[in-house]
Amino acid sequence: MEELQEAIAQNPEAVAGFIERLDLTNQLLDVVSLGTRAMDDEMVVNLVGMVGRLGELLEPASHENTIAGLDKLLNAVAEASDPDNPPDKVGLMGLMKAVNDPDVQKALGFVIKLAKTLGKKLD
Amino acid sequence: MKRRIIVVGGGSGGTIVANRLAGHLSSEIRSQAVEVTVVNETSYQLYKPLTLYMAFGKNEESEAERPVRELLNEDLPFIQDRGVGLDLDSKELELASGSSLSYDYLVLATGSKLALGRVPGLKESSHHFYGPKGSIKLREELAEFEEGHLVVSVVGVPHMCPVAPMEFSFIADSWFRERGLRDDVKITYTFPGEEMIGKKNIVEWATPLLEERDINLESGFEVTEVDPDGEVLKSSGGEEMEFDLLVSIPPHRGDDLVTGADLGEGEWIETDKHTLEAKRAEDVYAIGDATDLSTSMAGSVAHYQSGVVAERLASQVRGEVPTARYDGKTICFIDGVDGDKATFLEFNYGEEPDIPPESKLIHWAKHSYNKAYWLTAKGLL
Ligand SMILES: Cc1cc2nc3c(=O)[nH]c(=O)nc-3n(C[C@H](O)[C@H](O)[C@H](O)COP(=O)(O)OP(=O)(O)OC[C@H]3O[C@@H](n4cnc5c(N)ncnc54)[C@H](O)[C@@H]3O)c2cc1C
Repeated sequence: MEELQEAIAQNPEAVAGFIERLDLTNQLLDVVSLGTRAMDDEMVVNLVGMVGRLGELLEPASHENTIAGLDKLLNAVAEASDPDNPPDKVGLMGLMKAVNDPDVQKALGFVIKLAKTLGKKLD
Repeated sequence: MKRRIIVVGGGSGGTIVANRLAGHLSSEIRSQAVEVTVVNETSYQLYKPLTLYMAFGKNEESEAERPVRELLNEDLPFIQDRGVGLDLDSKELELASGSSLSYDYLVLATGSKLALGRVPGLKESSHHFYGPKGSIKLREELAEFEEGHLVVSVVGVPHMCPVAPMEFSFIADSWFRERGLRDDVKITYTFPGEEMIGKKNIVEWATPLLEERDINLESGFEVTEVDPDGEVLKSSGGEEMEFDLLVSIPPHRGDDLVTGADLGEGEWIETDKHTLEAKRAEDVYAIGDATDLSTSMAGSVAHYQSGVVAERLASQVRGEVPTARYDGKTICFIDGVDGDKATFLEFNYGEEPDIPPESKLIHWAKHSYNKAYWLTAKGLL
């Protein structure tokens, strides 16, 4: 007890700082306690299962090439889904015309390569 | 023969119980031995806790609504219709569209509705934050309110989220403080009972905090009438209170389906506190706000009860003895102290909760949960 009093007298700022951190630690512990009280077994099992499955998914998804490809794909989906600029309806003639477009040709090349690779993986 | 489970109500309790059943009975559902159907009167679910924040411009209606179909496991049929009649002997649910559905087991999760018409003058002269439309109108009113008497009045008991009027009072206090208007706005919080809430520890925690913030507490004020012209609240004890802005916690009622089927003394379903079986019917369960239990009308109650009912039903369908029991578990946040601090409480039947000191971290936990709520509705969290 005496040692404590001496420490406070010698270094009041450090002790004040310590008490502040103790406060924050207590608040953090309250949130942890909230978590343990709110969750039931099924919620924990579901959550861990979900995180586990996400982890498995994320492993191939974090490959550099996958990220680059998905990034392009997602941006294209966003642009093509712009409600202010909806896609036209396309019939057979329109489709034949579109095939001459170099952008469509590039995209078709990608889709065909994807289909070939996917086909191999499906074996 | 296929066993049919029907869940009436696609709110918090209804979607959670259905999705948990989809988990427990996945193989039976896939093989079509069991079918779990959800019936809800609207195509979307409203996450009600956000309407408190909508009044202060912190959340939008679009954040509080999701299509029920999207929330339900894809193997579960969803019917958008209103249940209007129940034949408890032949086990049939009659729908507003004219068709009817037969069931082997029924779960009633019909919640509660507002009944402003029960107090003369209330509808014309008060605002509330108990639904998106009310909250948005109140938001406009609050934005223009610069001076006068704001009265937050609990008119009806029981009501959803017993701590919501307290939270509203705390948030209103800091809202006017931030705008430099607090000296010009008097805030009074009235409630009909002797205490603002049934739990002693909450009263002891909240009273000094409300008083330090100059929020006047008026106990035993049972509103019987509101005079819209004179802007006066009248109580059963003959007292009168003038107001410039009245925010009421309106009376609540059970759904007509419950009253029509005579499932309880009044409009709440008489329910066994542990098994959650409706006492007046065979093979009927009741969860959430629709029951007559002494638990709070809270989403957490509906949530924990859903887990119990899903387990019991899964056992019954498999011919096993159901053993899961509800012990009254309730978790509640009290948010909004100084605008950005909160605490929480957890208790079971008959227990007094411990209340940790209010902090920003718990406030953040509450708002993170609000964002993650849809995972709960989907039965994932
Ligand atoms: C402002 C406010 C703040 C709140 N804050 C919190 C909080 O912080 N924490 C907390 O735990 N709880 C809170 N609650 C309470 C919580 O929202 C409710 O307790 C919870 O929604 C109850 O769930 P339920 O499934 O019983 O009913 P509900 O979620 O109300 O769902 C009932 C559903 O049944 C449908 N229905 C009713 N009758 C029929 C019929 N005959 N046929 C077909 N469909 C029907 C309704 O349309 C509705 O979709 C709050 C509520 C409000 C209003």
